[in-house]
This record gives sequence, C-alpha cells and structure tokens, in this order.
Amino acid sequence: MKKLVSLLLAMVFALSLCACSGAPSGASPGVSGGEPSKGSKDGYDLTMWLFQDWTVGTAAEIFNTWADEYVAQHPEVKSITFVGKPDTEIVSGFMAGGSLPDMFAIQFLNAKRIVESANILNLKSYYDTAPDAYKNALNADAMKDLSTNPEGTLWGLPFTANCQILYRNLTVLEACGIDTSVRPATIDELMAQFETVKQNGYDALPNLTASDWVTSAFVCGNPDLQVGWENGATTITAGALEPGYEILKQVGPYSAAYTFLDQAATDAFTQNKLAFTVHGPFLNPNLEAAAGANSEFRYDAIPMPSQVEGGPYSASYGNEWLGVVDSGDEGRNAAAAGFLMYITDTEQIKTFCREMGRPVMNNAAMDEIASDPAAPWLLGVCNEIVNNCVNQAVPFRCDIMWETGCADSMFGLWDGSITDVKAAAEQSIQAINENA
Amino acid sequence: MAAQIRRIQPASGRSRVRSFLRKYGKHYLGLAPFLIFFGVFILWPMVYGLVMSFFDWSTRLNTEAHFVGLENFLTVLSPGTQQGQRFLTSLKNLAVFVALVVPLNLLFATLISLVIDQFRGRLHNLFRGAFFMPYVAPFFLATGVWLWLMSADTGLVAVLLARIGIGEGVTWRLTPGYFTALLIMIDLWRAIGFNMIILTAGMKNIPPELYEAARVDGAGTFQQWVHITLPQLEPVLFFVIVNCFIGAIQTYDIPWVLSNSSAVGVIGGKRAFASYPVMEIVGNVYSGKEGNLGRACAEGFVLMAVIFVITLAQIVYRNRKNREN
Repeated sequence: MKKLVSLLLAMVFALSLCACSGAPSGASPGVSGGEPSKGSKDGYDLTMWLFQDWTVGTAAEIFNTWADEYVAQHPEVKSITFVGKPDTEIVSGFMAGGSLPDMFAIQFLNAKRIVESANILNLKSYYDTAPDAYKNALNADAMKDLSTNPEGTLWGLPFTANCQILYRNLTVLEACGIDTSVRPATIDELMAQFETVKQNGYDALPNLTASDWVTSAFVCGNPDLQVGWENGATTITAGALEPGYEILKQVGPYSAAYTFLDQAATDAFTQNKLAFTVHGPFLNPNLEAAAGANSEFRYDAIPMPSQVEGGPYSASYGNEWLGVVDSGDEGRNAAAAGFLMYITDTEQIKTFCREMGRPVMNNAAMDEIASDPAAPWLLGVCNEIVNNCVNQAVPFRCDIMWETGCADSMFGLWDGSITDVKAAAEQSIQAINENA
Repeated sequence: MAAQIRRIQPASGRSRVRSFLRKYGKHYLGLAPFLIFFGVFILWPMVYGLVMSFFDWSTRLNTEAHFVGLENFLTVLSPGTQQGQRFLTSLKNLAVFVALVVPLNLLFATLISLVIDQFRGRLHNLFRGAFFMPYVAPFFLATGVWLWLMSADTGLVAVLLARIGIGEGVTWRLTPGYFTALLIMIDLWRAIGFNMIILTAGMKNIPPELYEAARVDGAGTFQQWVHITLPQLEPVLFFVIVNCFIGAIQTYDIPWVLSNSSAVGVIGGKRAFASYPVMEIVGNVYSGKEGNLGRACAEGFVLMAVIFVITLAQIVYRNRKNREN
C-alpha cells in the first residue's frame, strides 16, 4: 500500500511537471503562434529590456519622454514600460526563455546568443519603407553588421557605440617634461612617454589585463588588421596581430600592479600618481567629478595612436543595438518596430547623444553633436576614434568576439609568461576559428 | 445441527485502501508539499539533466536535440578539446582549493570554537555573533570589499602583507597562485563563522560532568580539549567536514567576482587559471554554442560524481571507525 501511495505521488509530480512544461520544446514562450494579442483591442502594453544604467537618471528621463511622445502619436499603443537589467541577465533571460519583452537592447558581442535563443523579428520590411533621410543617417557599417546573415535578415537597429580611449593625466605628464599639446603620433612615441614617466617615479599604466577588450587597444592600430569573417574563418591574420603582440611584450613592464578596474587605479589617476589609463567613455563622469573637486588634477582623453604614422587609431569600436521579439501579432510587432525606429531617428537620438555624452550609431546625429562646441567634449574624441579605428563586431558569425580569442595570448605576453609572439598570434587565430 | 462456521473474509481492496488512508493518509498529506517540491525542483531536474547529458541539447531555438551517447562526457574530459582543457584545468584548480581550504577551515573553526567556549554569557554571544557576521554578508558585496583590501599597492591587507614580504607588487586577482590564496582567505573569512556556530553548539551538548571529573583528576584546559571535547565532538566534526567538502567543491561566486567575469564569454582569467567547475558549467550554459546545455549537464554530472565519491568515502570511513570502536 505504501508503494501504491508513493506511486500515486510520483504520478502527481509527473503531471505537475507536464503542466509546468507548457509550450512545446523549441518554441519561444514569447511567441504566441499568431493568436491575437490581449492588448490589441485596448492598445498594446509594450515592454522593453534596457541596460540597468539606462533606466535611472537622465537616460531614464529620455526614454520615458520618448515613450510618452510615441504613445501620444500612436493610439494603438497604450503604454511602454522599461525594465532595467544587467547585460548578462538580458542574455540569460533570452536563453532561459520564459516571459520575453517586446523590445530589448543588447551589445553586438551578445548578438549571436540572442538571435539563436529566441524568435527575433526581421526588421527589414519596416526599415525598407522608412524615409531615405532615416536610412542614410544610420551608420552603414553597423547596419551591415546587423544584416550579416545568409538570409539577409535585419536583426535590429544600431543605437550607441563604445571605443577604448587613452586618458592622460596632464599634471603628471607636464611634471615629467612631456609636451601635452602634441599627441603622440605613433605607439612608439607613446612608449617613449611611458619610459619618461617611469624614470620620473610615476606609474605609467595600470594593469589592463583584467579585460581582453581594453588590452586589445594595443593591438588594433595596424592597417593590415581586418576584422571580418569569410568561409567560416576569421579574416584576421597572425601576421597582422604580431606587431601589436610585440608592443604588449614591451608594455607589460610599464604597468602597475593594480588593475584598471580597481578603485586604486582611478584614485592614483585623480591623485596625480598615474600618467595614463585606457578605458571606455564611461570612466569620464568619475574623472570629471574628481577634476571639479581638485584643481591640481587636470586630464584629457585622446585616441590611442596607431602603429604607423597616419594609420588607424589603436582602438576598436563596438555597438549596442535594439531589437524586437516576434510576438506573432503583426500589430504588436509593428508598434514595437515603430518605436525603435522612432528613437533611433536623428532628432531623438541626438538628445541621447548630447545628454548622455555617448557616441551613437546615427552619423547625422553624431556629426552634428560632435561639432557643437556646447556638446560634451569627449564626444568629439569618440567620434574621431569611431571614424578611424577597427570595427569590433562580426556579431552573427562567431560565438566570441575576436579579442576574446586573443585573450590568453595577450595576457600572457603582457605578464611575460609567453614570449613567442609568432606562436601566440597563431594560437589566437586558432582560438577564434574554433568558436565559429 | 450443522455448525455455522463464519469464515473470516480477507478485507476487500477498497476497504484496505480506506483503512490505509485512515491510518497513514494524514502522514502522506503532511509530506506531500515537501515531496512535490522535491520532485519538481530537485529530482526531476536531476533526472532530466542526466538524460540530456547524452544529447546535443542547446539553447538555440529550432534545433532538435539528438542522442550523442557519451560524446559530451568525452568532450569535457578530453585534454584535446578547448572545452575539455578548460574543464580539466578547473578540476585541477578545485583539487588544490579543496585540499587547502577544508583542513584550514576545520582547523580555524575548531580553534575559535574552543576559545569561544571558554567564555560564558554576553562575551560568548558577542564573539559568536562577531565571527558569524561574515557568513550573512552578501557574497558579491563581501568579495567586492576584499578586492579593495587586496588591491595591489593601495589595499590595506595587500600593503600589510607586502610589508612582511608577501605579494609585493603582485596583482593578486590576476596572478595564478596568489589568486588561489586570495580565494582561500575570503572563503575562510566567510565560512569559519558558520562552522564555529555548529561546533560551539556541539560543545554545549558535552556533559559537564566529564570536565568536572577531568579537573578533579588534574587535567588542564588543553588536556580537556584533546581528551574530552574533540572525541565528543566527532559526529559534529564529521558533519562539518562533509559540509566543508560539499561547499568547497561547489565554489562559484567568489572566484567569479574575483576574476571579474561580467562577460559570459570570458570566464576564469588567462588559460582558465581562476576557473572552477561550476563557473565552467555556467559559462557553458550561457555560451550559446552548439550542444552547450548537453555539455553543461555532463560537466554537472562529473562534478556530482566527484562529490558523491568523496562523501561516500567519508561515510564508509566513519562507519568503519564506528564499528571498530
């Protein structure tokens, strides 16, 4: 009898599990299979997953204003709700299925994971019917990247961009007798400045090897470095990596023990003990605040110089893009796609660019703001870098970004545990291709 | 007169069920919530995970999972594949970590418990509370604070250690060896309090007469610890050891934060020197690669097998020792 009751309980478990499993395997829970959406009669309640920092402060105000404007112009949309999540949670949310949003923001580096784990709407038909002024304004490279799949699908719309920037502590450099009015023209000149700084008893650089993206800023400035994907293999060659890898070997000894991510690095920089640091534009608000509080701390930001005079800056830019989850309801899809096109249009995105000080992937907006003397000064630098550096992304071809495949080699060369540059470069290419 | 013989009929099936339910029904009803939750959230995922470790199951949409036999296990255990290299390195890292952290944890927790047990009243509670405090601190926050303390050249603890010649000019979080030391320091700081609470509770159950008798016989504090406290604590110590092993083997969040793995594609630092098996499993799940979930399940079962074998060995050893005694 006990066995019988246990068996019955086991069957109850099994039934509960069947009830839990819901949708058939392979189908995204966000896909309703053409069933009319609940919101279609009274208006759609749309949701959008955004990076956490875009749902607070100025960014939140901008997004909410856009939502209010769009809802006012579109009676079929009742509300737009923004949900802030860390990028890893956005990716894991898509992979786990569950309740997906109508729209989302994500970096290019996570693009492949997203489109392979959910039904992402092809935006091509919406984009094709947009006015030419809108289409011409969007960054052509980013648009190409968002369409790089054999079917010609347009997975999303480009939004913001990031690039590595070389921050210089002018107080330290001038104390070392370095003329800061002239930018170093090549990486070699920059290395000479590292040496001068070291001889004067300051730290030249923090340890950058806590991030493959930041470390790769010393590798990118080679005109032969072609980031792309052909016939299932990367277009980057070992030969194009080698000069950058040689530089990493030389840079390692100039780095302090604290990493660029440690508060110690920011403190050392703002307290005039560290001469340079490499970071994204997101470091600048902290530095601006420190400069405001301490008049002896003066800094600026410049592009990482090229390996050759007049060559591309030694940096790569990556993007964030916006996409729509296919709900199976045409009206809902159109409402969501329309909102994304509205906010990526020049007039709207200009506000984001100016207020947030972030480079955007709308050339018309970026050019206008970057040349505006009243706009944040860092935007001009970012614009200059983005227009003359390597495009980081080949988002739908490989499971990893190219820098990730190079990480082990780059870190090893930096800390001296690897010395053979040629072998390290070949191993990097192999690691990138293994993740195809 | 024919004798009327009433034969006792065996109870019918229905009445048996009724009488069983009357007798045990409430017990099963009481157990049902636990059993349902256990079945749905532990047993079923485990069984499903085991089954799927033999399939090329992935997070990719519109892909069917095919039976691949032992391929996932061979991949994650083969030094010839990228995934295998990483997983084997993570197992090696784990072996070093467990071999160091478990004895150290036990040693410090026991010593602290013995010392705290000498106090009574408020002081006893104060010390217990103080040592237990790190255990309730959020993992990520505590690790973040430690990263500050161990920041090279400026972190308080790193600077003090450098003054006595340990780790001078070293980036603790990026240097193999130092990273393990840092991980052990944080783990001990966090976990000792929990084990100390269990051990001090165990000490409370030791009959005071034993100590009184020992004192009459002239035994000092140290002799009382060695000859009374530790032998009497043996069952509690066994629990603490097993618990330490299982906790150490599942280590994840501290190395994850230390190696700054915000990007799911990059985990565990250069050549996975800071990677541990659970980090590899999580990394595999969110890698989005073909067959990623199947490989993650296989890694999970390899880890489970390791935990099972170690725990079983401990139980067998203890039972044998009990029989000998």
